[in-house]
Amino acid sequence: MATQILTDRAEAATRTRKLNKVKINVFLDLLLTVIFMVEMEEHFTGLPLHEILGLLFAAAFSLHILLHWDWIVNVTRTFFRKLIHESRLNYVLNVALFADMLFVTVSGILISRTIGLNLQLSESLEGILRPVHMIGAELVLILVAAHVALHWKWIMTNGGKYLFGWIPKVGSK
Amino acid sequence: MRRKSRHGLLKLLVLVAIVVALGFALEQQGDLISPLQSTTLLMSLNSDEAGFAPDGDAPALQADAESAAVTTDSAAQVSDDSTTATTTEAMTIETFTAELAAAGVDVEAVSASMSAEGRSLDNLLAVVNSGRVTVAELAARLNGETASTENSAPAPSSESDSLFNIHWEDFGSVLYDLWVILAATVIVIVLSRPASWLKNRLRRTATA
Repeated sequence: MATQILTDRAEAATRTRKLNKVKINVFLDLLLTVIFMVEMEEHFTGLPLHEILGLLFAAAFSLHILLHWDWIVNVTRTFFRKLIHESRLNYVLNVALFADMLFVTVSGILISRTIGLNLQLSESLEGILRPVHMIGAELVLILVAAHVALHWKWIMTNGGKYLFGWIPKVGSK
Repeated sequence: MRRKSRHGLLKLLVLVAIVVALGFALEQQGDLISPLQSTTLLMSLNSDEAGFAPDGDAPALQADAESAAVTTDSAAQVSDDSTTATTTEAMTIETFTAELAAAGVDVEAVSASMSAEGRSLDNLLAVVNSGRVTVAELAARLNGETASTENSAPAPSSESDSLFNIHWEDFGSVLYDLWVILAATVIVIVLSRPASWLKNRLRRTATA
């Protein structure tokens, strides 16, 4: 009996932890989306805020990856095992997104002017990096759009639950 | 089950309505232009070694705009006019060509070279109206006055120094990003039906 109670408690604790993880994901993803949309438009924020938001985004993005680390490990292990893989498209897209995001972040840091790094790149290198940074960022927009689209069901379910859950449903008692 | 699918269809219709309405509003404001399109367009205009610097690279381009303004008084006038134009309302093609001509740009030659590439001045106007570049900066670029943007790079103005120097008149660009994400979502939802049918077919064939 005591063992049963302990098991129930452990299960409940695990369930709560899982729910909290989903909740953290919802709010982190919302933050990432807002920062991303603002960050994309440098002429809207101005260069200093653009560079700071870029660093903030990189930190939040790393946290996003850490929160999904189990999924990454699992899919990487089974990627070549099954012929038709549910998450294969998702995985390929995410790898492309990660690579592009990494490139944009690194090139952004290299050409930064206001965060005080002053890396003194050669003119020719900076002349190449700047347009490539911009085109890479536009590619990120396309990949992020596809990423959001592929997770739309999850966003609708959990976003509705955690962001708008406080609104009473029409017709509910 | 049927109720659930009707609920899903209703959500999709709401999403489509938002995408259409937002797209229409952005189109009216002149913000429905892909940043990638405007970037490549501006890059193709100037093959200068210094490369392309966007509107947000305030220090370099401000210096360019200032150097252009010093050249003639009319160019300075254009700079003021274009700032007003981007902050108030979308510019017409007539005003745009007049301001370019006033800034010393051979509009006819530019128009001819662009039409040879299958583009027109309307494409440039769309970029100006989206707020990514001003007429003065564009004129400087077309006149080949953008030489060595990097030389003047580390001298940010006091305006660009402040952290929260947000240009609310360019908020349409942020909404454009949201629009792209929502539009992609609609496309994926619509395409996912035949895709999942095909996937099931393939799975059945694989197991058979």
